[in-house]
Amino acid sequence: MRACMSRTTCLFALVVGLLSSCDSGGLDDFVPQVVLSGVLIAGEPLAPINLALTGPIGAAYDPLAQAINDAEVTLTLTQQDGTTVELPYQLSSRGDGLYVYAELTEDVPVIGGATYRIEAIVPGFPDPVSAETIVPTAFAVATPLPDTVFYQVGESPKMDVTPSFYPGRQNVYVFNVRAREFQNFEPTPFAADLIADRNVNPIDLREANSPLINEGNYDINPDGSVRVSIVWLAFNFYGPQRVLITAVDDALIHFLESQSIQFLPTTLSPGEIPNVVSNVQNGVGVFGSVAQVSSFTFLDRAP
Amino acid sequence: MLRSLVLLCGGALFLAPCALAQSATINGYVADEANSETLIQANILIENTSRGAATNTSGFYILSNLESGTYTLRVSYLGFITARETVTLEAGETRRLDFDLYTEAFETEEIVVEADESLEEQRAPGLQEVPIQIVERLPSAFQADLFRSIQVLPGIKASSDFSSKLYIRGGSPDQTLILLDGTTVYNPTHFFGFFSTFNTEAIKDVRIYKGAYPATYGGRLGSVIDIYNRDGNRNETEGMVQLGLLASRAGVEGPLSLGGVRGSYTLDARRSTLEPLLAFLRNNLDEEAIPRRFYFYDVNAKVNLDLSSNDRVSISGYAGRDKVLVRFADDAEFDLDYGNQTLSLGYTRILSETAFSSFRATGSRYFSFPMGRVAGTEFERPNSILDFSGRADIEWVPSERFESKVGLWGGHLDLNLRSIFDGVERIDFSADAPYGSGYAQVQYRPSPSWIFTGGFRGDYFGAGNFTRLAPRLQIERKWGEDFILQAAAGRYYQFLTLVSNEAFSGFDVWVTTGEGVQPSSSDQLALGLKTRLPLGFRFDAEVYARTMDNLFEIRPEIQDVAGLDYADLFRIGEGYAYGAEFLLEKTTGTLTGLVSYTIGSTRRRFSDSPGFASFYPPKYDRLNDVSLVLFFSLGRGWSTTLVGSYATGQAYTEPVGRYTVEGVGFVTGDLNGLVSQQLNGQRLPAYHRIDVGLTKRGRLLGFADYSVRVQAVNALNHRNLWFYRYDFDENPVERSAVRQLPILPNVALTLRF
Repeated sequence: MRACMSRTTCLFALVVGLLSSCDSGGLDDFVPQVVLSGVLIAGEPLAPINLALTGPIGAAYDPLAQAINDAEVTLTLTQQDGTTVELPYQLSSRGDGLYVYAELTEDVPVIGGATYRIEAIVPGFPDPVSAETIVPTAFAVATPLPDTVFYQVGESPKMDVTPSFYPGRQNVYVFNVRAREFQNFEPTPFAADLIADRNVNPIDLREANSPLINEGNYDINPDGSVRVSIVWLAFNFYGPQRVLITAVDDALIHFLESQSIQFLPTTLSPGEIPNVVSNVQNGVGVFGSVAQVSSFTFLDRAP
Repeated sequence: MLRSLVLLCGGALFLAPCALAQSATINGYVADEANSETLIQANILIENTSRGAATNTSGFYILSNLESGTYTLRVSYLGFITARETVTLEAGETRRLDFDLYTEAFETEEIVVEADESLEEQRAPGLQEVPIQIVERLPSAFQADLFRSIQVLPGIKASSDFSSKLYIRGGSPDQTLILLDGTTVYNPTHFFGFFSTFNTEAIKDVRIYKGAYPATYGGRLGSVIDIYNRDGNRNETEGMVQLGLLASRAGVEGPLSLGGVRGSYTLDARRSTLEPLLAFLRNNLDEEAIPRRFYFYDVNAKVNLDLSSNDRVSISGYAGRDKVLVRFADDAEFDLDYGNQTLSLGYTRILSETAFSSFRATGSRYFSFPMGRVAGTEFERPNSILDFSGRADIEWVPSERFESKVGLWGGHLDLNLRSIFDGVERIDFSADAPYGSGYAQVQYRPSPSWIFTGGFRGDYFGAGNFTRLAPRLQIERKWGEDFILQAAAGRYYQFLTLVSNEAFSGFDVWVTTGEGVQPSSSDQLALGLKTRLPLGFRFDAEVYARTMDNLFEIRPEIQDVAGLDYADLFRIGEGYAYGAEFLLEKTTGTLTGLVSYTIGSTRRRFSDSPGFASFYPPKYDRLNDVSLVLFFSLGRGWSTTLVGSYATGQAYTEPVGRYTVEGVGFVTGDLNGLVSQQLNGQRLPAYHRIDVGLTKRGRLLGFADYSVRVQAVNALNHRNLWFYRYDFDENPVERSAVRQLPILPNVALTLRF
């Protein structure tokens, strides 16, 4: 009987031990990774690229101290109009982790629809850090915002844009509204409450941007242009406003979506924090591209 | 499939009378003598033989194929005095023998239980009966809470103190089918998930199949919670009022007579009484986020009529609702209205001496109407489910060796989800899904020691046009009355999935399979033993293992669904769970209670979702769970309750690194990122909590029985950790702990008259 009990106890202890061993998992060790970031804008000059190192979570983070300045960085135009090309541009560090096109004597515009590849060889890291982006095609304002809009009078302001194009999917936009004058700011009632009662710094409200918004939300006009609206919630101050509409590439969509749920977990359990989805091979960050248009208006109080 | 089931039903009815022409049969209902409430899973044994039966969900039993002679029947049920009756049967005789059992002093002045239940009452593998009296006595923050109470049982977990949602054997809450009087309940929560929606005062019986459940149920991957409301007192009218700190309830029940047809009714209602607390907080705290309006209520009603000795009809309904209005800033408010409504019309008929039938028509509605307005921008997301169904079940017990059940269930599910932002409809998802299922289950007893139960269940679901066939099998080996070994296995399918937030259930949305989205499936295996020990102890042990395939979930990172194909909304995953459960109960004496222990593990992965592609433990995964529940009768109407819980810390992700992305000019603020080596790779500190309660019962001025309960949830005020939050406004990044419930006292006065 005792032997039987003993065997049972041993078996139980073994099962517990096996399950426990599956469940352990000590603290993860921090290993520095290369952070590569940069966003090309269709029709604009080639954008600089940032290189830095990740920092340990418990230590103070100084961007300058984390900057990587001794990498070999090359941006290559690899595909244009469906044709494979090989057009490299060398970048060199400015000293603060920002890599610019020092060898170019004049601006080279980013080509909408083209594919660019960035590659950085970073001393101390065995594999090159690289990423690719397909640039959304440039688009334009077809009908701008009205010169003046009255806050919360009627429907929210609307404008028309010509469609951008991205292979394999609908366009995805981010809207950004910026109060252009900020000397004697006059907040809207909601912003005033945030400033007065919740101690929000007004400068943090100067710009407001939307989450990712699919083109499927909007009506398509008979001429093919897209009618977009700017919700009242995006305006925090009266006065002149700039509305920036950005069509983003796949890399930025994946990066922004996954970065957002690290801090706003939606359907994930609290404390369940997946890594940000990055198109950077052998590193983290994002190398993306966009196409942008702007329109301007004046936000006035209701008469 | 359906055609064969119909034939089988018809065959059963046709064969039933003639199969037993020369043998005798005893059948009837078993009920509580005090109120004539039928008792589910009461045990009927013929003494000195191996013959026995248990009452079905209508309280009806059948003992067929008996030879002529004299028999003594022993009828037992937990908390009731065992009844015995001797009958002499002639050849070919059918004897209707209804039993009324007398209660022990369970809920009266002294909480002393003398009658033990037999193992037969909890015969099915994975089946857990939950005596509602125990639920009533466990300490709770608001009122007795069914779902929080059953978390003391092995294999049943919660994700946090803030949620009553159940995680059973590694499954998420949507993998548990919740039935109230046969009607599916889609969001069984009040207070945004803080406690469950069922008023324990209205409940008669709760049966929990934790896994490997039989063919009579379907539609969920994991488990079933089958709740039956009380029929009402058929003997006399009685009432109940309970006054609590934050919620109160009242009920009335009694006999009914309509045109000579006898029956009973019951009506129970409860409502939160948070308004004084909210007014106090609003007046004393300068905090706009305190709700301007916040209440919940629910109402349960049931009417039963005995049309004849063979025919009974019942109609029951439930309506529950939560409403909250928060004005959190000037020009900004949020309004939420959500709830459930169910209606069930049931009819049972004794078809013959060996066949029993039940028919049920059900309707279930879940709705959630969140609305908000911020700075002139309005948004709303109306969401509703309408589920109408009809079902028929027939049981046939032609002999002691053979028993069969067949059933059909068909219905129509209408899911609607719209999203309106700034006056423009952005989302309009509607799924219009007819569904149907049928099952056939056969139980064969080649000898008194062996029971084989096998069955098939076929399911059809209209959204995506899927048909699935699922086998189920159970094998039992008995040694006497006190030792049973069991094994069960089966395949299970699920056509719905829940989009929910673990901390807030008010926005819950159900979505279905569809084009490119296949049903989830699970294979389950459970092995168990049930023993009855001396001195009123019982010991159960069960090991289980299950797979989860084709789990479809809304992609958590998705920010806008407009213009996407249906299949693009989902990520598809798989998982598994295994573990062992142990339950030691003491059901008799002045000291009763239980100790439960679960050791288990569950993992998931979503190969098409970066960051989730490798197997990881969900947050609710815990290696060890221990619960201790003690009820002690102090005499003179005093009793105490102690509940202790311990669990391994939940899984969480420990970031080891951080970074900031520069150069994304069209997004305001820094784009910060956290780096971890493993999703949910670490464990929070272990969870532990002690709840205590003290109850005094007595008679008040000769007109009512009273009970006063003083309880404290988390009596030691141990603030268990819920999760960590990371603040990038600080440098270095500041990690702060978000903790679970502090001590919550509760006082309730109950009067029964």
